[in-house]
Amino acid sequence: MLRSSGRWMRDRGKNYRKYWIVIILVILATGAMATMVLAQTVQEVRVKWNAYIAAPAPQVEIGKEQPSNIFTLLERRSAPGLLPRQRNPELSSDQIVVIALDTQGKEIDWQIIPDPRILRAEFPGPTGELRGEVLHHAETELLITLPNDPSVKELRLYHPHWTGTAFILDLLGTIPLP
Amino acid sequence: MRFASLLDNSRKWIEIACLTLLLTCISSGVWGEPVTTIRNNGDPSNRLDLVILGDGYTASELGKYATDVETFVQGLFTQEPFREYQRFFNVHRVDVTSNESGADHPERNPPVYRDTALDATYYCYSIQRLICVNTSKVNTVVSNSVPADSRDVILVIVNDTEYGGSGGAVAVTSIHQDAVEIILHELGHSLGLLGDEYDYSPPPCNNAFEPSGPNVTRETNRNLIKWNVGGGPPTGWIELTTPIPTTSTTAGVPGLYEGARYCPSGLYRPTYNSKMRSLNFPFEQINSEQLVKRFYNWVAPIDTIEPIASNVTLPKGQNQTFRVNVPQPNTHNQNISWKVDGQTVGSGNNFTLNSSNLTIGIHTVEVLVTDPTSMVRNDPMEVLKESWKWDVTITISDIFSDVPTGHWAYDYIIAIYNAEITTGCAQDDPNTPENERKYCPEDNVDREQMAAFIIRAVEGEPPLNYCDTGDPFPDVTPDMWSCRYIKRLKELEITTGYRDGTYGPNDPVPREQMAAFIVRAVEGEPPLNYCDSGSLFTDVTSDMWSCRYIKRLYELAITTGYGDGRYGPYDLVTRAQMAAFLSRAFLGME
Repeated sequence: MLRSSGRWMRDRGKNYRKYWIVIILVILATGAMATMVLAQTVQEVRVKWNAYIAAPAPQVEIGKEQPSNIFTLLERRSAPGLLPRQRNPELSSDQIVVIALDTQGKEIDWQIIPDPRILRAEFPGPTGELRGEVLHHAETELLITLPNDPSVKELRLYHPHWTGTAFILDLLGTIPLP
Repeated sequence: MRFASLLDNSRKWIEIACLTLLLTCISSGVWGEPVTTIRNNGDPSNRLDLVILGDGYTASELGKYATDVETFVQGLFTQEPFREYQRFFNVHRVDVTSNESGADHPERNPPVYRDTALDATYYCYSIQRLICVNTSKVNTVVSNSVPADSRDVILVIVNDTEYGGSGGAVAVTSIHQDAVEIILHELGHSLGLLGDEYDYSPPPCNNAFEPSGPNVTRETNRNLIKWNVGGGPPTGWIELTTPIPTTSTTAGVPGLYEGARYCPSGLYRPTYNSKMRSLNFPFEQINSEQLVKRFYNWVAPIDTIEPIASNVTLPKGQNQTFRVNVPQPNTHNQNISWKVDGQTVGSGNNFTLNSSNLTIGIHTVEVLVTDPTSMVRNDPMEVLKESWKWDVTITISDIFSDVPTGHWAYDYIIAIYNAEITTGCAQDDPNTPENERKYCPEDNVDREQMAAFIIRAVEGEPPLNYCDTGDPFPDVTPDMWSCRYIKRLKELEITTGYRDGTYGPNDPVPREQMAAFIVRAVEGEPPLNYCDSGSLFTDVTSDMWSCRYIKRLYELAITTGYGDGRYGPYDLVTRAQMAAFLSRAFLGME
């Protein structure tokens, strides 16, 4: 009985060591993955955008916020990957400029993303030449990628407005981030 | 009892660790839709990444989906400039599974509704051929499945053969045979920021001011047309013989064709037809130029460089290979040129810097990569160029592999190397990365080496054929490497050889002989009675033949002896000691 008990104790001791090896390996793997994830992460912000384009917009000064846009923050999370970067970003009226600010109003980052409101309906006519319409979604969603920096507290969205010689950024709205 | 308790605790820890691992996986977005990279041409951070999602494909149709995507991608990359720059793209296929096959057709009688993952529907906004998808669902799939830097352009392919599609932030197409054409036109907008060149309205015509797109203008002055910078070739596209406005109907002739951007007049396009006006036409020159420049907005001409550090330290005499990897166009090569201190020294992906010819100090190595494509004539932002510069510090360390920096005679040996008094006892093999050059500091100096050292220090290298006119000593023949030095040494009266008339080129050099050689080389013979007033070392007596040389050597601060009052006149001179004596005697070192 004593011998049996002693062997059981030794076996438990071996198992105990095996478990600890497993635990250490799991912790190491978790740590390595966490390190990797933290090293190359971005912040993704999803925003619902109600753009009441169809309604007559009140007259606003250029550069002032357009009151017809309602932005609702849906999600803010960390995600794997690096920030997408452009070497020579160019503006167009089909894009949105997103500027990320901290609580002091200091610019942390900016991105140019496609304007999700725009919907092109283009089809060849009888002669083969295209014809079409440019429609605007009244309700859409923005997926914005930012640096994984907790100091980002506000997003400002601008629409590039072409004057014939230059682009002017019209403020579409601001999105406070919690 | 104690073990059992520990075991229970360890199980808890395993559970906690597994939970942590699980949460980490979830937070890192591991649980997205399956993604297959079907064109992998490089690091996504320096490639244009196309993400293709399918809608209306059931689980059993994913094989068909893969085939449809492959057909589409092959079609995409058969057209210029996508064909030439296809290796600038990665393509990721996301396998999105729908519950039902096809897409909604609310216009049909009876209406057809399909339960699909991205809610694709025809008759969007009551336009028969307009297909819309649920942007929120697209964002969810993309966000969960594809890293942020791997989704520059998002396309959705809908499993329906009826013609249809849409453009915008997400381009959508059916699997109709014209799917590729629809997407290429939409990429012209979203990727190339190109304007429509068709003149059908709506959308409303607005020709009151200059449009922003690079392919539409209201300008009719040849020299001011945006695609004719410089008024014509080589930077502009309109030949001087092409009339403005242009009325030719010949395809692919750059000019100024009236009718563009929903206006039949008042706005102009660059070619008679193009993919921005009609499907199944090429993009043509001006649109291709813009697209290539836009490709380079995401793809830098330099992929990677080696070494990564911009500051490189290189011991003189060693080689350093610099390397640049570049994204490769399909049928032409990037121009890669290398410069050292502003002077062009090479081309190609690799350049090996031989530091032997560089002075000690900081030098620059620069690589310039330029795409010489004929598709781009005007690149004011120079997006088709990229350069990288390294600061290379050439140091004097490790010239000789057997003389480490801490060697007592290091400075002396390097000094006589730089003064070209020695090249070492073994040379470096330029065909190997190792430094085989040695000085052999602990070897004894023999008399022929001594001759070479002193002659080089006094007046430099004698001509190679200096012994052709006769032997200086019977035991020194013209075929010996040292003959010219020994002959010159004799001519300068630094040596007269042994009393028997020989020189003894392979005899080792005692320190008293070395004193005589150097003093004669520096200032000639001291007076015979120079030691009458006494010797300066305990082991050098006044009656020794070498006393006057050793005494003078001390006075000239070329030796201090061993520091214990002795000079060691019969000790053999090592090459390290020789370096010290030569440096003090001829290079002014202490």
